[in-house]
Amino acid sequence: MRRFQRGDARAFPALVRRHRAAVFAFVLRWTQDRARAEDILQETWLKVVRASNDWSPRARFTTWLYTIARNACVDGARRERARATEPLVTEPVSTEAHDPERAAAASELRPLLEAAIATLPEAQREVFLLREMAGIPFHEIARMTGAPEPTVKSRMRYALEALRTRLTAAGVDAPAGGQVA
Amino acid sequence: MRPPVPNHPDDDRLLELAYGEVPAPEARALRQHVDGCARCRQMLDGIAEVRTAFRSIPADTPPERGLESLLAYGEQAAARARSRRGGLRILGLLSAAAAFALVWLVIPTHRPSDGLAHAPAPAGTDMLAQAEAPRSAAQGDRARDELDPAKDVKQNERKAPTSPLAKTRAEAERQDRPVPARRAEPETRQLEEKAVAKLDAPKEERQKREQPAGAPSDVEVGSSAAGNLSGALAAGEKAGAAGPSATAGASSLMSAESSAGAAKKRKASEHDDLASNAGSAPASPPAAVAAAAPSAPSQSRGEEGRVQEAARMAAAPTADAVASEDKALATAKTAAKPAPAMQSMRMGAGSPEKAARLAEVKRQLTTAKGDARKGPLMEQCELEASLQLGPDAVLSCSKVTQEFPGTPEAQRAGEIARGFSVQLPAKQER
Repeated sequence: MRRFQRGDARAFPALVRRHRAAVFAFVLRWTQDRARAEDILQETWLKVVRASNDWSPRARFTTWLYTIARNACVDGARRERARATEPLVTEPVSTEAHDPERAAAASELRPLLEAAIATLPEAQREVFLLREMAGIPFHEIARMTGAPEPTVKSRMRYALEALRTRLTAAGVDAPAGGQVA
Repeated sequence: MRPPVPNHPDDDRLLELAYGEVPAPEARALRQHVDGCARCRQMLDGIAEVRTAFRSIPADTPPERGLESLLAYGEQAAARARSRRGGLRILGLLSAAAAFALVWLVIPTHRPSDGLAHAPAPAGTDMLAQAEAPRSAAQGDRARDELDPAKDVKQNERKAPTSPLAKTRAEAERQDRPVPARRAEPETRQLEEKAVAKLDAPKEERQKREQPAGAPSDVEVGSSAAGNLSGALAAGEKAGAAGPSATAGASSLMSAESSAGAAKKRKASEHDDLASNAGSAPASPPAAVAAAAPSAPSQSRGEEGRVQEAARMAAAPTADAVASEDKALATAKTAAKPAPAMQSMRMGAGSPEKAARLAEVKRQLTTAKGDARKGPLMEQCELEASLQLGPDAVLSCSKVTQEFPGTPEAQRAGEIARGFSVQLPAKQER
């Protein structure tokens, strides 16, 4: 990012290559709508370019990037709610039309998990996705969302508990005991 | 109900442990606890289950749509950033150069106003002024040039600073006229002594101001210029002006350490402030410089307006106080040459107590009415005179003469206003 700020033309494609897929996954899980996720993804990167001068090396780039993505998601959700033409999140995301092979490989777990994520309250989903997908530490999520750190952690615990309950109810036995961190 | 476990870790701490946010030594201790605690192990296992399930989902492929245009946009932005950085570098260099030039220009421009305080001129400056002055210039042109700050700047660039006394004297000599300072000297001395006597400054400080190191002595001045100028010079020094000499201007650019007296030190510190600002902010001009640079002409115009107002008020009812409107205008304009920022800087550097007192008096004047205004107004007049705030002093003194005509205060205010006429060109003076 520093190179990009200095005007290195090769820096931006490198950034996009490294982070675009992860940001897209994050936005897709958040919105549960591929078309909207694509729009938000594009909007996020455009904002990265426009606001590149605002970024300071003191902040982690990923935190800054996901803050932009998260804000875009929040704004998008707000717009959607204002339109109120359809419920924000009802159906699990279907990516089969875009990537049938990968969708087949995902088997049963994917729709189950995505449905479970979709049912989470927005505040919990936000924290879960930021921590689990973006890998942002709890104290930084607290700063991003403006919520106290203990609140962020309790939201995360509630989200994990809800997801685990949903998975167990669906008969999914995830491999237990792994040290994922 | 589960019995409490004394060393049971907090749920949040376990959550942090699951996500690797606990420092290694503490994490080891927590894991030891978890190994022996079914509840905590269950919680950690639950978290790990969800995380493992979530990670087993293959990553989504982002769309290719829009990628090309996004990369092109990024490339454009990078190009813009390159050009901006280049521009900023140039701008930084330019602003640093401008700041440096401004410092060079502002200090000498400031100098003639010190002359208003009858600052001592170094020996030999009269000769320099005479040598530099074009003999063929018409009087009107000279008067206009004196009021033109740009011209002043150019002149200051060309030659070492000379005191206005010297300048006036040079002009007077060119026209074979007597030196005006001679006439004003006793009055000025008397007025300044009165002003100084009212102030609370410690005696040592006053003595210091009276004898600035590096300033030419009366004897030196007397030998090179008119001997009876020394009275006016001493009065100016008493007023705390401590004006810089030509050598002070040069040495202040080099180092404050090489100062030989209080006047030089103050000047050098003012100068160093500006220089350090310029150095620390290469991309943009320093605040003081930036504020001074573009707005200088308008400030001068504003000052001129105030000056005209001062002249109008000074001339109107008390013809004996100020000889004519032209005279007052010229006096005030001579006083108005330094930018207001420089005036306040000088005032602050010279006499903080006086400045504070002046502010207090001004506050009093906002509420005082009738005869209650006389005292504060007179004090304002005297303070501004002693702080070398030429136009302000003329203005406030003329208020005294207008509001309380025929009183001893009005007479004293008139004398103070007349004291500034020392700087008038000889023709106007007569």
